[in-house]
Amino acid sequence: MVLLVTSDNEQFNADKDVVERSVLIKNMLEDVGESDQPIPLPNVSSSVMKKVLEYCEHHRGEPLPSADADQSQDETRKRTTDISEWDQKFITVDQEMLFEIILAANYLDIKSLLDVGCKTVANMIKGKTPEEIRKLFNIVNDFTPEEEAQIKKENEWAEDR
Amino acid sequence: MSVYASATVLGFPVELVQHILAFCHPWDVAAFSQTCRAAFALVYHSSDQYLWCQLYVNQFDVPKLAANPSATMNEKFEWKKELTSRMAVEVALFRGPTSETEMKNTFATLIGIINELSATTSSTGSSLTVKWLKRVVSDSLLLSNLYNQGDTGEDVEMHCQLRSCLAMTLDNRSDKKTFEILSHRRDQSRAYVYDLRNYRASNRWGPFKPGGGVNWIHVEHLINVTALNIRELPGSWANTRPPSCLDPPRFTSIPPAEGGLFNDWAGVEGTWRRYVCFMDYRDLYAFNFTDLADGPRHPKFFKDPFREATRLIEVKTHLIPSSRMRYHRLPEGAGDKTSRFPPLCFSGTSKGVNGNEAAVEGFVVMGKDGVPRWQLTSIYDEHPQWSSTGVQIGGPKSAMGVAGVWTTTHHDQDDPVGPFWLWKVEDNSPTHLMEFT
Repeated sequence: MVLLVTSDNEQFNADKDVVERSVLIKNMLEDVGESDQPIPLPNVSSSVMKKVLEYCEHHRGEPLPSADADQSQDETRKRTTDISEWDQKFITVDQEMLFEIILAANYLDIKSLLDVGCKTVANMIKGKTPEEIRKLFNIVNDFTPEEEAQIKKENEWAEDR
Repeated sequence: MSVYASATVLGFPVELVQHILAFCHPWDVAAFSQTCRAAFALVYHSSDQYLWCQLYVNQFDVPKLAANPSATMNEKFEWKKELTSRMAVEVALFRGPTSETEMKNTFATLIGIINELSATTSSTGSSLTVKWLKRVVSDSLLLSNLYNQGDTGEDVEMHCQLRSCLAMTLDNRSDKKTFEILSHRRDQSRAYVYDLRNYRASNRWGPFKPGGGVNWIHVEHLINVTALNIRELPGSWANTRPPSCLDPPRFTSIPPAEGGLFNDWAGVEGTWRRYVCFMDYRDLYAFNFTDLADGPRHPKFFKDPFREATRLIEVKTHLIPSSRMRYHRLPEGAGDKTSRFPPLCFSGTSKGVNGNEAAVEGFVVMGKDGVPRWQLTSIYDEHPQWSSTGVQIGGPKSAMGVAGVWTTTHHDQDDPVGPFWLWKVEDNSPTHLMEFT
């Protein structure tokens, strides 16, 4: 068992093969060797950690992407934004939690979870106008009129669809 | 979360936003870039090509130039420029081009993409580019634009080149109206292909213009006649035909012969099938020189019960040094041996349904326009008899094959002529040759 400590000082006990889906934790464990020392994760809150562990539990035992296979993984990566049924249910959370999960997956280096999160955001953007995207993510339009003209020009290739 | 203090959009670091956008369609990325300054900057002013490369490979096959392990970030390939120009083509095709320049660019880009197909590497056997091409060609306004253009104007050659590559594979319906349209098209094309005035020394008795450029109008007529004749063949013959640019890439890139002595850039060595079409010589003469059917040379001549013969033969070729050619000499300035596309000389055999085996000899030279030219002579008992000249549609190693004209080696004024279409098959392909009149 491995002991994890989150940013809000909560402790989580989890099986080694579950937490090792995180490349960060796996490397940490290798560095410290056999020890009962708790692993501090100052960038992850307990509510997010719970979700991350739920994900890792469910996918335990599945093959992990090897580090040096990144390139070919990218090549053969399913280019669609398909997400498996379980993952889809898992990631049906509010936007704040979704973003937290993405940040945590990025920090903990859990590629499959990161992709599930990113695909979900990609699907949210799909088919929307710039104004709709702003609304969705609370983005403030900070373009000056001159810049407006420039962005219009750069995006000419995608106009008049 | 102090680590992400430098976050830009959505509270994410730039790399993460790009990772998200890499899952998006280019249209959505364009929309996203218009939301705010930071979004615009990370889409259009990124320090590397990561995002555009990802967006490109989501839609298209990785170009050969970049098809080596470290090359997804190949700086030489302008991912953004290539992707956006293709997307602009898609827009133009679906809403209809707004200007002549746009129309021209659209056709030129499509032809470029088709030529690139034979050079792409596809490990999976399916091709994203073909999938895209199929969709934009079938679902857009392209075909109505392509086939309803008048045959004049400077774009006509490009239309013809594109139609040559599509090779009649899209008119699949078998209703009466389609049948009539296609019959009419073939009659027009026959009137061009069998018009003896179209064969003279100045165009080297082939589909060329006086300056040596490819006459795509002629090429398209040759393909129309052959392709539509193939459609009317009985039984499985109708499906024995060269692939078009929209077919799956089973053979789009002819694999180079391993350890060969020659740089076989055109994919010459191997087994080929060849359709040859011809008119009965009395018909050919009557069509060209009499007033039959409002003639001479009126398409009406080809109305029922006119018949043309179609023959499927097998050709096997292997490369030889130019010094071993007995019946040809390489044309002046055919390119030297050190160039990327040195002239290729070959010899081999040709076999028809009756087993009439002839020797063949010929050569392939690369044109300045990137279109390979094929020259081939059939030799019976040491006597050269038929001379064929054509162009490789779709560029070097294209599986679409070689379309051209055969005539006699004498090139006399009233010699017979006819279209041919030569394409490569696997070496162990079943030999079912035939002749159909």
